[in-house]
This record gives sequence, structure tokens and C-alpha cells, in this order.
Amino acid sequence: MIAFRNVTLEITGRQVLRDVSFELPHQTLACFVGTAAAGKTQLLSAILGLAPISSGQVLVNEFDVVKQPLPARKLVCLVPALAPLPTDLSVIEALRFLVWLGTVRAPSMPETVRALRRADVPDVLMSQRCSQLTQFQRLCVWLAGFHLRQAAVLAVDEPASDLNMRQRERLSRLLRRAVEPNHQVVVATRDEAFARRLADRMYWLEDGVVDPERTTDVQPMWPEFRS
Amino acid sequence: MTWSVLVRLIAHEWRRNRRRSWVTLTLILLSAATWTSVSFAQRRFAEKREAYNELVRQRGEAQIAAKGRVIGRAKEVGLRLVRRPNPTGAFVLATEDALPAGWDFTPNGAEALPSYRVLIGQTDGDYWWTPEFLARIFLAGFALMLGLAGPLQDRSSGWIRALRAQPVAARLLSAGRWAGGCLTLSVLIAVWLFVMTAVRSRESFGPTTVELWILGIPAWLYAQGFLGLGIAIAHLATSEYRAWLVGLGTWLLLAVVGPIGLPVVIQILLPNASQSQFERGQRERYADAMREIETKIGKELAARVTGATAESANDLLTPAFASVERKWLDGIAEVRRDTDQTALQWQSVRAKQRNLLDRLDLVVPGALLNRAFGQLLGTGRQFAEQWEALVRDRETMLASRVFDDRPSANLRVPVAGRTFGMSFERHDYLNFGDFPFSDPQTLSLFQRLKEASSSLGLLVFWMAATAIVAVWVEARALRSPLT
Repeated sequence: MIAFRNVTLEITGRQVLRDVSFELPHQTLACFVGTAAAGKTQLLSAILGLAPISSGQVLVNEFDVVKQPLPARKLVCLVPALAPLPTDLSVIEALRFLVWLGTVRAPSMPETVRALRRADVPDVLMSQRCSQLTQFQRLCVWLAGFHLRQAAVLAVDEPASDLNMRQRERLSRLLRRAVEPNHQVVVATRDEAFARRLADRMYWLEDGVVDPERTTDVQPMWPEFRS
Repeated sequence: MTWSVLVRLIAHEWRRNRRRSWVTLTLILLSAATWTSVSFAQRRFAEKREAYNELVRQRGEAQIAAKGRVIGRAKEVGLRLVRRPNPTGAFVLATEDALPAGWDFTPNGAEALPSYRVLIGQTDGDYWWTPEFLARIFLAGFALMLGLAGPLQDRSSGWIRALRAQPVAARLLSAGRWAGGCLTLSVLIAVWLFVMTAVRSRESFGPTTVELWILGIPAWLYAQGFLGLGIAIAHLATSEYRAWLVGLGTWLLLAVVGPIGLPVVIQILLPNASQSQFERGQRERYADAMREIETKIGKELAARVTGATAESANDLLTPAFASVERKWLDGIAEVRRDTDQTALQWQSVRAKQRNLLDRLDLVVPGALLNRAFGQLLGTGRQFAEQWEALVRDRETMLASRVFDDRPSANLRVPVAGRTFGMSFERHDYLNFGDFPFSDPQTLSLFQRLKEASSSLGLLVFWMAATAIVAVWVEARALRSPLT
């Protein structure tokens, strides 16, 4: 569960989030939609305890991200915008390192390969350098990382910005697949149409404030998502 | 948990560094350069040894010609102090190269023989190409590049944002990067030392394997400092272009221009005549003063034998000289006091220059490395001071036995319209056996380490300070919110 209670964020004297409150139950896919500099990325920063919270409280599964940032961060797998990966490593190496950092043990090779397959990464890409991957392929690798880490929250920043329609559909399917019992997916995007097709719940952010009138529960438009 | 994460981070950083093509290229270039530099060092040492043997041969010939007495033309060679070249000195441009090949003694002090390379007419073309130079230039540049490349690449690819989100303390992440870089540098330094050892063994000369591998300590500390500096610059610079520019400037200042420019700065701050200029000036002053005394004493002697014929003058001059001998000795002593005074003033400025150089060395790591190498190879300040002490002892002894109290007095006395060249035997001449070739005691490894302790301590400080700055700056960057 993720809970924001009257959260205000201030970065270099500017309030990027103002008195934001919401609660995301388990097995939810929530999208935060807003224009550039609306505070979407900073909201994800707050979930990880990276942003300076001037007032309020952020809880991730009962962990206060200010008081216990590392245990809280362990529960969250954040995919930054453009889904970056270390360009000089192969896909498998990058993924293992990514998971290794967040867990006690490194995933075995079969586990890694299984997770990559589950995230729709073709076998032929697994031994290639990350620098050769497209943004969509990198997103898939990150999703494999989420499965391997067994984190409770998947937070994705601007996943659809440079994807074509077909890739968006495939990504949406993968993201929906990540919504399992005791799991949550949080997506920050500028693309309202993408959010409407994907999310269970959509929040509108404008100048750091959640607009209650435009915040709605939505029905994902692709029927197979419900399956 | 912390340790295991750190080990993973180090392994990850090592793997990334190993993949960089320029790392492999540097390794190959450094190995080739080290090979050539040690070969040059070996050739240079062989030439030095040849020049030394030549000086020894000259002495032997002079000894036979003068029948063992230090007289006439044999005097210069007989009094000469010749320095045995130190094979370890071929590895670093330090005191060994700054010290003269030997010293000739004149009434006004020691006159340095040119260094071996000048003595044997060798050009200075490859002279700077020493293993120490390679360590100073290559390692600093490589470590800076290593420090800059990782963070800049992570920043441009966005990977740094991913690292921020990991459940690992920012300080641990930055420490891992630094330690991974350390590991890469350690491997590079090990290869450098291994190549040096291999060439040295093939040529069978120079320092022992242990002496060579000890050089790895200052080289390692020096390189780690640049690694930390590189990481800090990468995070502090606002753009990639600026980071590389600042890195280049830092490298030039601390590793290339700084160590070379320091003596120039000191000469500007504390101007002093160079040793050769000073010695030339001293010789001229001494010769003028001696001419004056001899003319004066000669005239006084001439007055005492006034009226004598050319034939009787010879018999009268010897007792007359006994009566003016005191004055003659006092005159010489006065001249020496005067020239000694000038020498003391010159030495005092020289000492101030040295102290200033020592202090300025502290802020230029390249100069510090050079000093540490010189000290560890036994050609540091202690080595130079031993030779200086030896030269001073020889000078003092000769001043009392040869110059102030000369075995003979040669005067020109005007008598009856003619000038008599008079030579008065005063006491026994010196023999070659009184002036053996004597080297100062070679410094043991322990003594060298002791001498180098301050330089090594400062290099430890340089490494620790830059490491702390690097870890702190990177941790600060990793703790900042996502953008």
C-alpha cells in the first residue's frame, strides 16, 4: 500500500507538490497524469524517499520513507524515464546487477532468463549490449528486474513517450500483468489517452496539486487486461 | 550485507572498466613505453659507468706520471673526488641526475664536474623518458579519465537516475565506484611494475625486484588521488564538455607543468646565481685577489734586497721570504675569508630555495611523486647531503693543507730591473694516497623508507582527501531528487 498524507515537497524554494493526499490499495494500477513540471516525477521521488518532504508523510507498506528510506526503497522498483541501463554491459549482466543491488543474493542464470522471457525479451537480445536496445526493449528488461526483485511496487516514469502504438499496447499488457495480489503499479505520464487505456485509477496533477475533480476510477479499455 | 553490496559494486565497476577499449589501449601503451624507458635507463647507466671508468683511468695515469705526488698537472686529477654512478638513479630524474659526476678542487672551493651525460657528450633527447615520468604522466591521466568516464557515462545514459532509486545507501554506491576504480588502477600498476621487472631482469642491472615493487606504493597513492579528483570533477561540472576540460587542466597543472615549473617559480621568488655562474665569479675574484697579494709581497721582497745584483738576489731572497711569509699567509687567509663569506651567502639563499621547494612540493602531487621515487631509489635529499658533506670535508682538509698553507710559494720578484720567478718549498707535498676515491655509505632499504616516510605520508593524505571528496560529492548527487 502507498499512502500520501498531506505531502508538500519543496525543491530550491519552489513547492513542487502541495498538500497531496491519496491512498493506493494493493492490486491497483494508478496513473498520475499531468503536463511537464506538474510534479509527476517528484511524486515518484517522494515514494523512494529521494525528495525533501517539507511536511506530511509518505508510507510504503507501513514504512515511512523519511524515517526508513532504505527498507521502503527495497519495496519499490522504479523505472526512470527512458528506462536507462548501463550501456557497456550485456542485458543479462545489467539485469543481474540491478537485482543484485536490491536483494541479498544474485539471481541465478535460469531465473534471469525466465524473468526476461516473462517480460517479452527475445532470447537473441539477452547477450547483447544494453546500448543496442530500443527504449521499449529496455523497459522490458526493467520489468524483468521487477519480477526478479519481487518488489511490492512498480513505479514507472514516462514509459510511453517515444513508443509507437504497437509498443504501447505491448507495454500496457506487460504492466497490467505486473498487477498481482500485494502488488501495485504506479505510472507517471503526460499521455492521458495511454493512461485511460491502462489504469484502474487516474490522478490529475497540476502545479503540484492533485485535481480531485479529474481524479477518477477508470475501466481499462483493452478487455484482455482484465483476464 | 554492506560488505557484500560493496563487493558487488566493486566487481561491477571493475567489469565496466575492463570493457572500456581505452583502458586496454592504455595498458598496452604503458607496457610498451615502460619497456623502452627501462631500456633507455639501462643504456644511460652503461654510459655513465663508462664515463666513471674514464675518470678513474685518468687518475691512474696521472698518479704514475707524477710518481704518486699531487703536484703540477697531476694536482687537479689527484685532488678530484669522483662519484660512482648509482644504477637506481636511472629510473628517476632526481638527485642522482642533478649531482655532478665529480668535483675538482680549486683554492676558492669545489668546482663541480659536469654531470655524466654532459661529460660524455650524450644528448638529452630521451632523457626525460624515465619510468618515473611515465608513472607521473600516464597514471595521472589514466586515473583522471577513469574517474571522469564512469559518472559522465552514467549521467549521459541516465543510469545514475536508476542508481538513485536502488535500496543501497548513496555513500556505499559512491564508495563502490571509487573502490572499483582503485582495483583497475592496481591492476594497471601491477602490469607496469611487472614489465619493469621483466626488462630489468633481462638487462640485469638497476634496483632489485623488491626495490622496484616498492615504487608501486607511491605510484598507487598518487594515481588514487587523481581517480578521486576525476570522480569529484565529473559530478561538480555542469556539463560533460566542461568536466573533460577541467580534468585536462588539472592533469596539466598537477602532473605535467607543476613539477617542471616549480624550480622556475622559486628562481623568480628567490633569485640566486646558478652554481656554475657563482663558481666562475668566485674563481675570478680569487685570482684577482691573489695577484694583488703576490704583487705586494713581491715588491716588499724586492725592497729588502735593494742593491743586490741579479746573482746575489737569489741568496738574499730565501731568508727575506721567511720574514714576509706570515704576511703572505695572512693575505691568503683574508682572501679565503672573503670568498667563504660570499659562498656562505650563496648557500644561505640556496637553502632557502630548497626549503621553499620542499613546501611547494606538498601542493603539487607530481613533484611529490618524483621526490618519493628519488628517496625510495636512494637518490633523494639524504643521498645528496651525504655527497655534499663529503665534498665539504675534502674542501676543509684541502683548505688547511694545500690552499691556505701551501706546500710551495711561487712569487715574481722585481730585482735590478728584472723579474725573478721564485718558488719557496715550505713543507712536504701531498700524495695521491692521501685522497682516495670514497663513496658515501649506500642507504639501506629501511633508511630509504624512513626518508620517504614524509612524502608517502603526504601522498596518503592526498589520496584520502580526494577519496573523501569524491565519495561525498557523488553521494550528494545520488541523494538528489529525480529530474
